[in-house]
Amino acid sequence: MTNRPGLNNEIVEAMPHVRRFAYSLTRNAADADDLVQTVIERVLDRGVPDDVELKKWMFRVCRNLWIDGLRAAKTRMDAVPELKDQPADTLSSEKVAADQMMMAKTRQAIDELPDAYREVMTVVGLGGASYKEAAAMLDTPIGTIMSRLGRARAMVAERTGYHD
Amino acid sequence: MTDALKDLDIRLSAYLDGELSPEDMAATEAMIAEDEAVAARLEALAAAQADFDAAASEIDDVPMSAGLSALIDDLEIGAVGNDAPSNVVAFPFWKRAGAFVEKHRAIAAGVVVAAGTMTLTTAIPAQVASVDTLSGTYYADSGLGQVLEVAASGTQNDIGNGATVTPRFTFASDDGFCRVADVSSSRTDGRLVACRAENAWRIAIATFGEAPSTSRGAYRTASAAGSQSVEAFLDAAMSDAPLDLAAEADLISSDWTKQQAETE
Repeated sequence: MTNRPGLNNEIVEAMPHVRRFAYSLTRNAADADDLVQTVIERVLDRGVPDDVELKKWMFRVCRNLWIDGLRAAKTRMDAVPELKDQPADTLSSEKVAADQMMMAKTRQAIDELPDAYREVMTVVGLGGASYKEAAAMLDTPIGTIMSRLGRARAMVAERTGYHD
Repeated sequence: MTDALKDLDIRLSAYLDGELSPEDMAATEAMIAEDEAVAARLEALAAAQADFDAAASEIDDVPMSAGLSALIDDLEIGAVGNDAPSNVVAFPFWKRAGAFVEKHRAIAAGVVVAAGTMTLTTAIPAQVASVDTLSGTYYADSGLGQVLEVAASGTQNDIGNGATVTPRFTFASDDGFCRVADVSSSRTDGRLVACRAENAWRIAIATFGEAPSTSRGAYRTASAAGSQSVEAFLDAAMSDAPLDLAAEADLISSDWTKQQAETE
């Protein structure tokens, strides 16, 4: 575990991906930013193993911090305006114009996913982890990772209309 | 939905991730080729993951929190992390040599900000327009020279009309002393290097860009804050580490009259 040269730049480059990852877990922009900030501080404080891809390492730290603490604060979601409640001018115009209804359906589908399902879609689908890596990260058998992913994607597909 | 279809979902999902054994991959490919319903289901599962990913990327359009934005700023200038030298407001690219100064110093050296009273005019963009990546317009204000003359690095100084100047650090150059400062107003954000000679501060290089719009709050991308030309300039101009804050304070209190050798 060392502080490798150029770590700052690596962190800045990885940050947008980690932010998406955090948002996917928390489903709340304010919580996501708090989580990303904590991830960066943790990485700066404790360093990074020499042989790991920083982005994946930050995903792992992010997920662990989320499990450790921030999920308990999920009640904030009721107190802080969520992304879907924000004025339209904070979103890019093409997204608002083109897919508003579809996106609303998707958001609802994601919000309704059990946490364990949302985690596997985040860690594997969004984060690019292999099933083996996801199994280690989530402390779950590979077979369970595989079945959760299939069911999670099926749930999203059904609730967004792709089963028709 | 039947259990069998759910099993199919698991199989197709694992197929999408390339996580089946070679035999199962081949068998699944055959199922997809033979049955349109299976192929449609595969497409639905892939679309579900794509929608999931797209929903996550919505946060790209949301301004970063103030705390996260400040942390990213600090990472970029090297004020935190292992790129930061101790006891200085640091910059991460200070020691590599290069030809940038020789190439650009003559172009950019014409603008003077006199200590204390001189007004920095809007002529600055024209004067340094040849310098790489300059964009936008500079916010003219007479307070810049005074800030460079007396303010410690790391302090944010209001120079009026909503503009602030934050000196980042001071370093010794061949000809005297230079300071790196960030300038921010409602119209522009930028970073400059100014060097002191003959009781005046000259802008050696500056990069400016459009300030974030009010609807975007504190949002800016990581790249927007990066001033590559300034970094390249510093690569070449700095032969040693920035002064620590105590040495800088001595210089300021002596009205910048100390010889360079005394500070080393």
